[in-house]
Amino acid sequence: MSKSKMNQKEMTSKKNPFKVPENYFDNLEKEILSNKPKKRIEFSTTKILKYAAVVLLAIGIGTTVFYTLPVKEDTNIIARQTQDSFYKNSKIISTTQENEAIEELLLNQEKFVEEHNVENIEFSEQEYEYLEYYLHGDYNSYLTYNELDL
Amino acid sequence: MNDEEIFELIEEKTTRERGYSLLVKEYKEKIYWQIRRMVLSHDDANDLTQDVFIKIYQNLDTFKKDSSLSTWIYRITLNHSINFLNNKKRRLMLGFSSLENKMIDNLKSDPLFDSDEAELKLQKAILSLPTKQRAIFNLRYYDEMPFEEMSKILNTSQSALKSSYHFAAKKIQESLLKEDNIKFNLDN
Repeated sequence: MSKSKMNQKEMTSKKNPFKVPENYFDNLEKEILSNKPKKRIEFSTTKILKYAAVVLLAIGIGTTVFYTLPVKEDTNIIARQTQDSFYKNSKIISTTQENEAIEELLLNQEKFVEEHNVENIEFSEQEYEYLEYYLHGDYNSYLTYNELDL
Repeated sequence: MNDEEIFELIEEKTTRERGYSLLVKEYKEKIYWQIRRMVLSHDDANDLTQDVFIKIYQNLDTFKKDSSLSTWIYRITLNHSINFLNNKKRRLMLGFSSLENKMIDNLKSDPLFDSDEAELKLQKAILSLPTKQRAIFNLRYYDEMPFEEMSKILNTSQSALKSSYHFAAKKIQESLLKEDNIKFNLDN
């Protein structure tokens, strides 16, 4: 007999190499039978829940759209009104500020006249002309005029 | 009580629950072992066995008597096991050989596996077969299922099954002999 034949192991029995925990099959039967109705209910409940979720979602979206759109218009109107009132207020503020500035200017002018005894100052014709343009706020035109004149 | 009697009880609404209990009693071990030999892990086999029974319970109304109850049950079991393995491969993004290696590694440390070296080698050799051929081998070698019934379960001709089994056994024999000089006796 060859050495390899002598060392040869034989696997003849169909031994089951897998084992299960003790009393496993008794417990398995109980588990299967107790799980069965639960799983069945779970299956149908899940289905119902899915449909319910879809319906609720549709209602939710519908309601949101229905209520959101008019509210959005109102918001726009309010926004426009707020904007208008802001501008109006800005104008008022701006007018008030202008008036205050003019008042201050006039006050300064009076002070200047008093301090420098302006009434006695003699102006040349050109200076008068400049002052007139200045008072009318058209100083640039005066310069142009003079430049042209030159 | 035979399958026909069990199914008669299931068909009748008033005796349905009793019929189902008898079906569970009759098939729990057969289904478990068929799955366990495919997935190797006890935990997976336990979950899948329960899934299969739920599937059976939910589809009892759709069972047509053109095949036997056992054929129908074994078909569900086998499809469920193969789907599980395919999904596992996909989920773990593993190739065939990687999943086999992983399964063998798990088996080595599994307290519910007889850690005989020769048995481990045999399981490794069986795992190297393509999934369907592995199922054919298990059904024939361990369950000693007639080719006629296997043909109905797997929707494959008897001659194709015989040939597939023959090649599977030969491959396993060669693998064991080559690797560890273990002679694998095939008496089927």
